[in-house]
Amino acid sequence: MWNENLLYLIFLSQIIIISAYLPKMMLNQLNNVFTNSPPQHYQKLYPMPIEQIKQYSSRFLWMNITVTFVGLAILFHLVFSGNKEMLDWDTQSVITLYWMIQFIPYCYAVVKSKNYFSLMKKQSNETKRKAEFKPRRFFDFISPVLITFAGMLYLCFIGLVIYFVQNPFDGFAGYWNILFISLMNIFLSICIFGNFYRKKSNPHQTQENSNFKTKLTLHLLVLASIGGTLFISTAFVLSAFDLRHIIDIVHSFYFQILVVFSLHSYRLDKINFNVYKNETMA
Amino acid sequence: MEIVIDIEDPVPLFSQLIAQIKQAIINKQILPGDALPSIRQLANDLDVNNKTIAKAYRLLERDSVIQAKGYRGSFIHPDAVANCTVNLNELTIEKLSNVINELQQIGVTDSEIRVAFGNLMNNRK
Repeated sequence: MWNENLLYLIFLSQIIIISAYLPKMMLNQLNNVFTNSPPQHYQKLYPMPIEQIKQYSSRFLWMNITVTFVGLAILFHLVFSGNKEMLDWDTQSVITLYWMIQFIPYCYAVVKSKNYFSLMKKQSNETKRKAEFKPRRFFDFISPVLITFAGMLYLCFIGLVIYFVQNPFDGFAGYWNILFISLMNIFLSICIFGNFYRKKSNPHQTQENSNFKTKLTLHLLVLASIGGTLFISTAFVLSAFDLRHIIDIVHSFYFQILVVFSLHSYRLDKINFNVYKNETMA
Repeated sequence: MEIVIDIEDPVPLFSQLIAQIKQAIINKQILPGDALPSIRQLANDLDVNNKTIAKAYRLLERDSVIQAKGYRGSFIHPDAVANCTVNLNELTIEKLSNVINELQQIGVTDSEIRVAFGNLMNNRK
């Protein structure tokens, strides 16, 4: 009974954190930017009318409200139907599917911000371009300890898979797990490489802000690798000890941690907005 | 140190880059042995083609202002300060002027010099 209640609670927290708290936090930060850096004084910051940006943010809000209600409906169905599995299907699949649905508003925000920056780039009439004449070293952006830890964890995971190949439990996929985690790590490495050498999407961004963003993204990508490996390893151990019912809770918790880490670190208050000031004011 | 290029400037981008790097060496903002940013990094940061940066680096290497050390990247040449003051363009113009003067003195016409120079350049490998 306690693990059912814990599942309700953790799923409710997944709904609230990802679809209510974080969107609200993001919109509050955006409103602060509107107040502290108004279009009349920060023209470069607004490549489109502020009304249009507000329209996009309101659409983002309504998408999140809808997703919140969908989540609450799933939760109420689970609580009041008396079924052990969500939507009379498979709890783990429902949690994953719902997490993907929760991502739709964020994907919308990413697409809109990409359009925003490309518009900003098009409208920029600056003919001068600046760059730091200093080589960027990978380990200036990320701690070697973290990379070593991620590598060690990957090796431990391989060891764990080899152990469970010799002592399998029901539903264990064998060496395919190594392939899956390796593909995930290859994908994350490509993302790390791409971010390390990325072009500035924002033409007005200072080198300091750009470096900060790169540092943050690299950390998040390495943490995603660590998190992914830890999650799968935990799922193996729980399955081996016949504690599969806890996996759903860990699953939901893992998704929340992943999103909170990714979004909570992007803080608009750390951005230098002076670069967007009108020339006469700066 | 910061590199600033002006995309509207009539001076080619690679020349702006070369001039600024040489100036920084003369001003001791960068010292012999210092590492240079990679071609990809600088091209992405300045939002220019990789070939522009590669051309600037190639010409600086030809002038012994920088030296490439394989996979380790490019570094400022130990004799960079002295080599920065040698202007190969001026040297070329000076040498060619001397040769043209000599040829004119023995009666070779301007068009004959142009044709001969063109042929020589075209037949070089």
